[in-house]
Amino acid sequence: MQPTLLVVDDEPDMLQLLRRSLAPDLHCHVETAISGAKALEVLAATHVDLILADIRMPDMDGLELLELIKRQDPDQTVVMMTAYGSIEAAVAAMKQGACDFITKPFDHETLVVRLEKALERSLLLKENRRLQQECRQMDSFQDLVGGSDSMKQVFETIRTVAQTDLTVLITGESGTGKDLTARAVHSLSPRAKGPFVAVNCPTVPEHILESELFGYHKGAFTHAVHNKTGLFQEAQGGSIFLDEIGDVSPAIQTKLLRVLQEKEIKPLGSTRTITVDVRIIASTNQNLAEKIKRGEFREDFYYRLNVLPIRLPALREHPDDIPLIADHLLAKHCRKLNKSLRRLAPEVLAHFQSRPWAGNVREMENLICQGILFAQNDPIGLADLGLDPQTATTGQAVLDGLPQEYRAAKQQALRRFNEVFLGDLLKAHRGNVTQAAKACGLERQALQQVLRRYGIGADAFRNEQG
Amino acid sequence: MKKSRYSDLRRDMILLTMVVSITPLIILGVTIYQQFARVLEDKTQSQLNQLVRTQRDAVEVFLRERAFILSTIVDTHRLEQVNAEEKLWEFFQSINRRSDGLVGIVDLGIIDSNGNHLAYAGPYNLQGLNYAQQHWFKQTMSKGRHISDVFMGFRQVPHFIIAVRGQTGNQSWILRATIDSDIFNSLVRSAQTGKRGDAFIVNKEGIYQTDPRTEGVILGKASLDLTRLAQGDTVFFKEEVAGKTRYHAGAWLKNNEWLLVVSKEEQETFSGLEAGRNYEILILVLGGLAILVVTVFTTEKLIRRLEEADMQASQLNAQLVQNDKLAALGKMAAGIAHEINNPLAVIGEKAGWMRDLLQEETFQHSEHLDQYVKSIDKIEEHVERARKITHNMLGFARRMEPRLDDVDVNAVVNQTVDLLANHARINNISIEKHFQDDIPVIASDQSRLQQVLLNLINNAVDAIGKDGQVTLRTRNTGAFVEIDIQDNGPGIPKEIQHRIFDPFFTTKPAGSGTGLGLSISFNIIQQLNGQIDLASEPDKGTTFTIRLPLVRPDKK
Amino acid sequence: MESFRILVVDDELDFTETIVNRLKKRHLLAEGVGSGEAALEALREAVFDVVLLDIKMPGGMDGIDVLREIKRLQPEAEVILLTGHASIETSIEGMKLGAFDYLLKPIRFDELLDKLSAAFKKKASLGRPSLP
Repeated sequence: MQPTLLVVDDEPDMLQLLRRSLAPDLHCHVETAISGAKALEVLAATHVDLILADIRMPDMDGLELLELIKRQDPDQTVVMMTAYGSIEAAVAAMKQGACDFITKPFDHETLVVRLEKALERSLLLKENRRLQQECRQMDSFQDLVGGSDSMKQVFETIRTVAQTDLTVLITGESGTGKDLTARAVHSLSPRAKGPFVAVNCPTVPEHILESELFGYHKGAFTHAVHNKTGLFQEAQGGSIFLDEIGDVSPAIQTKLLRVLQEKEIKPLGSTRTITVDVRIIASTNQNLAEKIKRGEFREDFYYRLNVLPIRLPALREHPDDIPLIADHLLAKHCRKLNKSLRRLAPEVLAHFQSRPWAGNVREMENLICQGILFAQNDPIGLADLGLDPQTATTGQAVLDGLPQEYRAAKQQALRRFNEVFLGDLLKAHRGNVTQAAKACGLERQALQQVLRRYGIGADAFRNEQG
Repeated sequence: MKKSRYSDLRRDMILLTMVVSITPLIILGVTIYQQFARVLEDKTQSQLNQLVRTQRDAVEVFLRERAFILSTIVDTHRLEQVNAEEKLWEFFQSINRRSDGLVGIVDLGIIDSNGNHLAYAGPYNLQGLNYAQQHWFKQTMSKGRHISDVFMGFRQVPHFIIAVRGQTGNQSWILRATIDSDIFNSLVRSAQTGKRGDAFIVNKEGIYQTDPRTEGVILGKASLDLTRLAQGDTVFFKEEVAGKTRYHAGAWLKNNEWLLVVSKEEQETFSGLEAGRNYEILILVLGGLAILVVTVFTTEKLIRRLEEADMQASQLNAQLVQNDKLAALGKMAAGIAHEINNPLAVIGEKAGWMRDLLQEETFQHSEHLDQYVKSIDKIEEHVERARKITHNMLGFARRMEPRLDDVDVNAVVNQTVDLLANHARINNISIEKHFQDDIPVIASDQSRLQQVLLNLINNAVDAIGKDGQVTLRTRNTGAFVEIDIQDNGPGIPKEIQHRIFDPFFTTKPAGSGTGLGLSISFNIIQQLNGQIDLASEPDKGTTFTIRLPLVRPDKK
Repeated sequence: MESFRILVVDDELDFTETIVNRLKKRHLLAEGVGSGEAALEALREAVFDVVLLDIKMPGGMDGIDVLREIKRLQPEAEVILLTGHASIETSIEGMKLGAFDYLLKPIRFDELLDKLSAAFKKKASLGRPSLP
C-alpha cells in the first residue's frame, strides 16, 4: 500500500506543483491542505506517514501547526520548509520536533532525497511500533522460558486456557513465574486489549483489601471522603489477577465467591450491586487442599477458583531448562543494565544445575543480576555471584568418590545431598525452619525430621551472615 | 564589429543559396531544352521521311496507272483500229469521262515508227509533226515505254509525256499521252505541310519538274546542293536558306531519275519548342526571383535570431560572472565574519567576566567602580554592535528571515530623514519631501527597509557634498509602492552604472566606506520581493527608486 | 542545576576559559577543553550533563563528527552547538544528530544561561538513568 504524504502550504500553485512532482518520485499518495487548520482536519480523518509544511502561512504558521501535530502524535514525522531560512527558525523547528528543515528554493532532487529519508524514518517508526506491540504480546510468553516437555505442556495449557473466559488458578512455588503466567493468559485472551489489574493479596492489610477490591461510597467508613472505584471495576472488560489468593481471610473468600458466582460486586456503603465483566486469574503457592482440610480455606470457593488449573513446575523439576533460562535472564539483564552480553563460567552453570533453587527463577534472576553487576570480566565466575567455590561445587562433589556398593553409595550420596541441600536452604532462610519448609514444599515437621536424621542444626544458620 | 560579421554572413548565405538553387535549375532547363530539340528534330526527320516516301509511292502509282492505261490500249488494239482520229477521240473522251477529269491526260497521239504524228486527240494543234529526233521517241522505241521529264516542247507549256510502243504485225507504233501538269503538280503539292512547307520534284540535274511553293519555278534550277542528293532510297538534310533552317526529305522515283522532295521550315516545326523555351525561361526567371526573395527573407530572420541569441548569451554570461563574483565575495565575507566573530566572542566574555568579578565585595567600594562598570557596558555595547554587523554580513551569504511588520512607508521615510536631518543641514543640503497621501500600510520589514533608506539617503547626501537638494518622493502605483531618493549631485557615469550594486564597489576614496552598502541594500530589497532602479545623468543628478510590492498585512 | 556538569569545548582557549570561569562563578560545575579529541577523552572518563560544542574547530575532527561521537558515548548528554558562522545546513544537521540548541558567537551570556536551564529542565523531567 502506498504511503501517504500531506503537503501544507498557503500557495495553491506550490501545492499543485508539489503534488504533481512528488507523487511519482516518492511512489506515494499525496494529500494537500491550504492551511494549518485544514491540515489538522485531514490528519483527523486519515493516517498520514509524512507531513511537509511551509512555515510562512497566514492564520496558523508552520511552527504552531508542528506543535499541535506533535501534541496529538509525538511520533508523527514532519518536514518543514521555508523561503526564509535562518538558523533560529531551523533550530526552533528541529527543537519542536521537526524531522528535517528545507530552505527554498530547492532543487527537485534534493527535496526528493530528503523526503525519502524522512519517509523511511516514518515507516521504520511505524514498523517499530508494530513490532513492539507484537513483542509485548509475545513477551508474555518470552519471559516464560522453557523447552522441556513440562514447560511445553504449561505453554499449551496457557494457550488453551487463555481462549476461554473461565477462572484460572495458577499454582506453583514462589519464583516460578505465576505473575508472568497470569499476564500471558491475559494477553492471549480476547480480553488482551482490556485492563490487567494485579492485586497482591497478602501485602494488603485485610480490612483495606475489601475496600480496594470492591470500592466504596463516600461515608462508608471514616476516611471515606469520596467515592472510590474498586479494582474489580477498574478491571472492567479485562482481567484481574489475585496473587496469593491462598492467604485471604474467609470473609473476603466469601465475598469473592459471590463475585465468582454472580459476577456482581457491591461497593462498601452502597446498596446497589454492580455487574462486573472481569475474568479472574488467581495464584497460590500454598497447598490449598491442606488448607481446606484445616478449615482455613473454603472448599466451595476453591472449586469456584480451580476451574482451569495451571501448575508451574519448580525449577528443579525441569533442570534441562536451567541453561536456557539462565541465558534468557543473562540477555535480559545485560540489556537492562546497559552492559555488554556476558557468559556464565562453566562452574557456574554446573552449580546451577544442582542447586536446589528454593526461590526458583526469581532466585536465579537475582543471582544473575548480581553476577552481571559485580563481574569485572567475562565470563561471570562463582565469586561474582558471591558463592564460595568450595561449597558451590559440592553439587558435583556429592557424587564424587562414592563407594562401589549400591546401598552404601546411596547412603553417602543422600547424606551429602541433604547436607548441601538443607544447608543452603537453611542458610537462605537464616535458620528459620518454618520458612525453609514452606520454601521447599515440605511440612515443617517433615523438615525437622530430616534435619534431625542428618544431624543438621538449624541454629548454626541463625547466626551466620549469609 | 559584430555587425560586419553578420553582414558577411548574410551575403554569403544569400549567395550560396542562390547559386545552389539556381544553377541546377539552369542546367536542368538547358538540358531539357536540348533534349527536347533533338527529339523534335528526330521526330521531324522521321515524319518527313515517312511523308516523302508515302508521297513518292503515290506519285509512282499515279505514273504507273497512266502508263498502264496506255499499255492496255496498245496491247488490245491494232494500229488500224486506233489510227483514225475519231477512234482516238473516242478513247480520249471515254478515258476522261470515266475519271471525272482526274486522270490528267491532256491529249493522246499516235506516232508511227518513223516519228510521224499519225493521229491526235487533244487541244493542241500538233498534226504533221515529226518526233524522230526527240529523246522521248528514241527512248520509247528502244525501251517500249517511257515517262519523260518535264519540258516545254512544241506547245511551249511545261508538260511531260508517257509513251508506250505497240506492235501490230511488224509495225511498231507509239501511243503517247500528255500529263496534265496541274493535276500532277497538285498531287505533288498535297504533301506540303504547314504554311511554309514545300513539296516538289527535281530531276537528276536538279531541274524542278513541278512548281515549288517557296522558291524557284518549274523547269528552273533548284538551289539544292546536289552533292547531298545521294543515291539511296531516301535522303534527309538540313540547309540554311536566308538565315532560316529548312529540313528536306527526298525520295527517288521513276528509276531514280526524279527526286520527290518534301521540306519544312524549322521555325514552323519548332515553333512549339520556341514557345516552350520561352515559357521555361519565364519560369526560371520567376523561380529565381522567388528563391531570391525567400532566401533574403529567411536569411534576415536567421541573422536576427542569431543576433538575439548572441545578445542573450552575453547577458547571461555577464549575469553568471556577476553571480560568481557575488558568490565568491559572499564566501569571503562569510569567512571574514567568522574570523571576526571569534575574537569578538572572547572580548565579550572577558568583559562579562570583569563584570562578574566587579560584583565581588572587594570591588564594591573601589573608587572608580562606576567608571569600570560603564566601560564594561560600553565594551559590551560595541561588541553587540559588531555582532550585528557581522551577522548582517553573514546574511549576505545566507538568507535571513525578514519579518513581516505593518509598515507605513511615509512614516518610515520621515523617521529616516529625521536621523540625517542634522548632517544634511550642516552641509547646506535641503531635503524636500513629496509624499503621496494615501499610501496604505504594507507588509514588509520595517528595520530592514529603514536600513536601506538610511543607506540611500546617506549616499545622496554624500554625493552632493555641500550645497544641494535631496528630494524624496513616495507614490502608490496600484501594484507597488515606490520611493524615490533623488539628489542633484554629479550623477553616476554610464560606464559604471551597472557596477554600482557590486559588493565592495565604491567611488569614495579608499578608507571611507566599505562599498557594501548598496549591495546589501539591493539584497535586502530583493528579499522583500522588491526592486531598486537607478536613473542618473552626469551633472544632473541621480535618482534611486525603491519599488516594494503592495501587500496588505495579514490579519493575525 | 548545581550538581549538573558542563563541558565547554572550543579551540579558542581564552573563550573557553572565560566561559568556564563565569559558569563557576555562578556555582555551576564546568570544565573546558580545547579540541574535539580532548572532549571525547573527557567524556570517556566522566559523565557530563551538558556539552557546549564549537562546531568549526580547525584541524582535527570536524565539529559534526565530534557531535556524533558524543551522542554515541553519552546519549543522555545535551549538546549546545556554538559557532562563529553557520550555514543553515550545518545547524539542521546538528539538530538531526540530536543537538539540543544553537548559539551564535559572540554569544550573549544570558542566552547561554537560558539554554542551560532549559537543558537541565529537560533532563530533570526525563529522569536520570537509574543504577540497578
